[in-house]
Amino acid sequence: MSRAIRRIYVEDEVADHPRTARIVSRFPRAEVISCGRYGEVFNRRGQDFRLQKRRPALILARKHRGRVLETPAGYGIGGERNYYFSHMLNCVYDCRYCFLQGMFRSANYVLFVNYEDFLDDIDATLARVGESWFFSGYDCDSLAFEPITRFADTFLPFFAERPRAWLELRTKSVQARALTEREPIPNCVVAFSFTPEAVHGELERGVPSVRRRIEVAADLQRRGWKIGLRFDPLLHTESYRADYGELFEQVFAAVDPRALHSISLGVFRLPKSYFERAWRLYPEEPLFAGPQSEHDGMISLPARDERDLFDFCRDQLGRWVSSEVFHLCSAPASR
Amino acid sequence: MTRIVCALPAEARPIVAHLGLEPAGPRLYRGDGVELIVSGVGPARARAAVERAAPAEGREPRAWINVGIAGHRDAEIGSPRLAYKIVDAASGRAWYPPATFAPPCPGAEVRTVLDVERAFAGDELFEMEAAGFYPAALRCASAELVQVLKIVSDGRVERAERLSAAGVSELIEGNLPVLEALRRELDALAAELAARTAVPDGFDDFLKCWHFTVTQSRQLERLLRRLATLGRPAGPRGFDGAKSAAAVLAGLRGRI
Ligand code: SF4
Repeated sequence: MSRAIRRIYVEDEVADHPRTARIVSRFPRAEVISCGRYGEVFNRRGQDFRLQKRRPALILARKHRGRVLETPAGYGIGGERNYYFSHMLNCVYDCRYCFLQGMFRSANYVLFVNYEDFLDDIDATLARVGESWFFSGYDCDSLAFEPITRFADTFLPFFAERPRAWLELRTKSVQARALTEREPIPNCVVAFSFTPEAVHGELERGVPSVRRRIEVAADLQRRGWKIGLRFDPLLHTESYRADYGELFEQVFAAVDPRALHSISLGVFRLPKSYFERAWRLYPEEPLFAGPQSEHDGMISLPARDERDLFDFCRDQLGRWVSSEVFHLCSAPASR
Repeated sequence: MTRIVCALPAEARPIVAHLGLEPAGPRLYRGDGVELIVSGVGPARARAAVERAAPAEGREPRAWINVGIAGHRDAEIGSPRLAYKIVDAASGRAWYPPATFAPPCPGAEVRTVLDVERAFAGDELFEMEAAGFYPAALRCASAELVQVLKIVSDGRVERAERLSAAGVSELIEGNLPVLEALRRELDALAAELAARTAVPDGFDDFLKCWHFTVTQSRQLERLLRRLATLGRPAGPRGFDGAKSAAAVLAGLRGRI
């Protein structure tokens, strides 16, 4: 994981923001470069995500609009009204299956420092529609960059005072200090994503080990935090039965299944244009070279593999968790 | 392959000598993996030089470097700077060359002006080509491969008028190691891009045996690359009975 940021682009509009000053001071060796709008640096045509991933820069910007958005259909864990928000674009980790590499042309990290505007918009959404879920970690990992962003540090006290606003932090990180240093918040779910060790070793660069993440999830659970488990994406390997079987054993040896908030499963799926871009970036990656099926503009595993894998994992998880905990099964479309 | 664009013959001379480049046309030099173009002064000439060279771009990714002198109010004469921001003073447009490698020298904002700068109000470098060179080169290469390297030649004390051609060459010569380090980094990036887009083994052999349309040849290339990734490289031998390119493609798909 590259946390040694050597270039920081600062939008003129946030140059005097106190959060900008604090973050810039964390990187005394970085070149600090002023820019008009972050789009002048980020996601321009003719940039290469993979080359930029070698040494991503940080861009500090202001998010003007579209701060709180409705989730796509099928995204949620049982709530009726679901929204997502992205205080950051891109991720310090480098998972080969990640949709970000297909969505963005640039691997630079964009951090929107106007957190207070996000919070105002969440308040406005609550006032308009009532009790809702707010998912973070959609275009980034919620906690991986916490020592720099202090995102959770800022958002958790806000949610603590608004019991009708449910927050999901989704992460593959072990950055839990923002959580362990405060009392658990009943309307916050810390959702950890896992793939089996073998997949982790092959496809999740920079991501902390499965064992460390399980330890952190279990520790937070003991401290009273609501924990979610996300097996998303499920990835098909020749030994998927053994791999996933072992993963579930590992997880439930530490995490108490009776105290779990939720589990969700998701199959590997990318919009065709994202898949194409990811394949061009990593043509040597077997994940993109193997058998695929295309349906409604999405690329996924062949339907039979997907179904076998999904059914196997659902059945295995049924050994530990009841169907109420199994809030969401984003089952593959039957075809 | 790297393409270097300099405005002045005096800037080009030490590079030509150091890399052992040979004349290859008017204001054009060529050597092992390098081409150098002398564009003339000003952004319009720099842009035109890139555009003239661009049609010769093949499939192979290339790095582009604009090397030249620049003024700064008080930076040490002879010190190198890699542009992290380029501003066209005339239009206000800005570009931000990404650095996906450890830069061989400090960075700077580079401001492209039409006349020799005398005021040096800010902390920027002032020069006359980058804003013409950069957007034109971006049309030929991924942004990571396009860089601007400037050597401080004048400022408030050392006035530009006093610079001789020999003095300019000396400044560039003193920074050849920086240029070399930059070239190595960019060559490595270009090689990575080239590896991704290389024609897969067997591709030409298939084209010799069957007639593929443009679309079919793209499909062929893609299938061969996927099969190679899966450790199942394919050649025309296994398709002896195939009557058409479509049949070959169907056979290759079946192997995935
Ligand atoms: S942790 Fe999540 S957001 Fe980050 S690279 Fe992996 S899949 Fe993408």
